[in-house]
Parts: sequence; C-alpha cells; structure tokens
Amino acid sequence: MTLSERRVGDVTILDLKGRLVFEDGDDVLRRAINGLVEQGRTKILLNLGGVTYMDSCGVGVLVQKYVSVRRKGGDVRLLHMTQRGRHLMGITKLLDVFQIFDSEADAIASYASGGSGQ
Amino acid sequence: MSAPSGVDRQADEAARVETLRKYQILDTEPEVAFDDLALLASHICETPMAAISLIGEDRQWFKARVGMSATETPRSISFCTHAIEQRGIFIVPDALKDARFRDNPQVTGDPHIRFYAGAPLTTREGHALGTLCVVDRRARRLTAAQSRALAALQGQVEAQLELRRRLIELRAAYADVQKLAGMMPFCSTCEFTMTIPADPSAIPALTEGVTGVLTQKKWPDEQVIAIELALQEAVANAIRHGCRGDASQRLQCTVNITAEGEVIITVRDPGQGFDPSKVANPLAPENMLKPSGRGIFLINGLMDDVQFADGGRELQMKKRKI
Repeated sequence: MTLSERRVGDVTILDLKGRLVFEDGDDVLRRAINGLVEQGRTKILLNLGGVTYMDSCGVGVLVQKYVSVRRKGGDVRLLHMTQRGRHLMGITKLLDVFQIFDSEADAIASYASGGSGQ
Repeated sequence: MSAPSGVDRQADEAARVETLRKYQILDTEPEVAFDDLALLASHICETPMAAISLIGEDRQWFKARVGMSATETPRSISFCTHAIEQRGIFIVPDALKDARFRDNPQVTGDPHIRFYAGAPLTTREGHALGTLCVVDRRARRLTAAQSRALAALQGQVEAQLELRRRLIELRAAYADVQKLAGMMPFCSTCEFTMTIPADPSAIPALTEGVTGVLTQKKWPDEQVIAIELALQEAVANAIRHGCRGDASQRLQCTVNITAEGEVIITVRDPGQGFDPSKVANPLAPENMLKPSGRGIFLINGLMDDVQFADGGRELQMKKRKI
C-alpha cells in the first residue's frame, strides 16, 4: 500500500492506495498515524477510496488507531469507503462506530463543527 | 584441458542445430531490425558486403545481407562455419593467402571474397548459431575501433535473436494457459492442493488463483468476493497463529469445487492448534474495539459451513453456489 499525506487546516488527510491487509499496508498505516499523533496532529481523515482490498487486520488497524487517537482527544474519520469495505465493516458492526463520509468537504466541515474529536 | 572427442563434437553440433530450430528463423522474411544491423556493420567497417548468417545442418542461410545476391550457400564453402568454432571475431585478412580458403569457390569466383571478419552469435546456452560478418573484395584489416563496433553490433543481433526466442516461448506458454483456462468451465469437479510457505506475501497468489477458478466457473461476483476474503482470513490466521509468523513453515490448502456446485476449502497448518470454542465473540461490547479477533467470526459470516478438525490445525469451510 502507498500512502500520501495532505493537510486542510488542522485536519490531516491520508490518501491510501492499494491493499490494507495482513502484513501488507496495515503496518504502514499504523506507523503513519503514530507519527501524526506524536506531532499532535489528531484530526485525521483516512481516504479509503483507493483501497482495493481490506481484511480483518486492516479493520483492526482502523479500530486500534480510532481508539488511541480518541484517547488523545482527536478522531479518525473515514472517507470514500468502498462497497466491499462497507460490507466488511457492516459484518463486524463497526459502521456505527466510525464517522464515514462520501464528501471530503463534509468530512472536513465535521471537524470544524464538532470540535476536535466529537 | 583436452580437445573434445569426435563423439562430443557431434553431440554438441546436434544440440546447436536443435537450439537454432527453437528460434524458428530459418527461411523467414527479411526484418528491418536485422537488416539495419547488417547495414550498420557494413558502414562502420567500410566493407561493400555484410551479412547475418545462420548455420544450419548443411547450409548457411542469410537473415540479412548487404551487397550480396545469394540467400544461402552450402555449409562446406562457408567462412562463417569456421567463425562459429571459436570465440571472438574470426578474421581472414587475405583469403588468397590462406590455405583454408584460397580454393574456395566464393574466393575464386563470385563474390570474390578476399577479406572476411565474422563475430559469432551466441545463445544463452553458449551455442554459436551463426555470425554477423563483414566481407570485402580486397585484402585488408579492421581498425581497433571497427572491431569494437562490430562486437557491439554482434551483441545487438544476439539481443534481437533472444527477444525472438522469448516471444516464441511466451506465446507457447500463453497458449498452454489459455487451453487450461478454457477447460475450467467444463470441469465438473475441480480439486487442487497447494502447499505454500507461511509467508504473507504468498497469500495473494493463492487467493487470486482460487478466485480466478471460481470466476471461470461462473460463480457470482459477490460470492467470489466472500470466498476470497474468507480464504484470506483463514490463511492469515494459519500464518500468524498456526505458524507463529515463521516463514520456513508450510501451509496446505485444498480447494474442491464439486459437481453439485459447492466449494470446499481446507486450510491446514503445522502448529499447536487451538480450541475454537474459546474464541471470543468480537461483537461483545468488551471486544468491539479490540484490534484483533475478527478473523474466524468473519469466516463464519462469509461461508455457509465452517468446521475445525485435528485440534484446530485444520479449518474446513464450504459455500454453495447460488
């Protein structure tokens, strides 16, 4: 998986491309988010539109980082989740846990209106 | 090192001719890539004649030629036959002063060869198939720069020949794959067993192979996607827990697509096993936000029937085609 970083205001957008599965992308994403948290950048938006394949390990990283970033007062929100990704999150009952957006503008606005993490 | 015996030389020559056949080049039409290289050789070496010759069993045939009318000659009067028996460029500065060639009909008659320089064209196995050669009607030598350029062009001709052979091999391999793939929809029962290293990088080849077969057998996309994910989870679990991430271990995966329209996948690891009844429910409130523990739950949700055997070392999962 490849990952590129953008900033809009105080929101950091990570654009993910490729597989987010066991030993292929999961660690890249984990380290990228850890790096952001160390810099105090905890308003994180993950653009999953380019994720071609995700398994329970990929979901596990999303959940793990969601929990740790929220503990720091921030949030991990999701953008452009694919149909397959939604299906996976649906089976594991995580669709209601994350804030998921189809519009980048709406996702960024959600951080402005909802405070850092809420 | 002793010289090869007559028997060895015959065997080597037979292997050389057999290798030449693999290029399927004898008696083919002229091709610009070869013509251009012969032309460059003639210009750089300042000779009125140049050729790319290939030595068959009993004749030499020209794939490209400059300033020569013959398309082939008997091998018995061929200069190139001598050139392919040695390494490096074979040079005859004056054929009239060389006992091997002064009575050669190509020297005494048309095209009246006096000077010859031939660079052997060698295959990946080390067989010399022919030469890139330059020829003149007067006695002379090549300058050091011309020799270097001829050797460089020789490399280009060899690369063209290799490309041609790779293309032939690739076409044959592709045709075989197409034949196999074409049979898939008509296989009433299809079973295959794979042994893969416990290495995560081996997973895509396995999952994509299985989904390829299911697609060939016209399984609906949504079912193929579900089976692919279940297999991904099963193999990832076997690598992570069964083999504890040790890539030197091996996993066995058997896929059986039955005549009744059911896929039965078995994944077996060499590990310590586990008790499936003790796997926590990831939907329980205390587990919902845990980073792991969803694999088996997902497999159960994606497949129709899931069974563990041999103390958890073997997982069997089934799905029926809709």
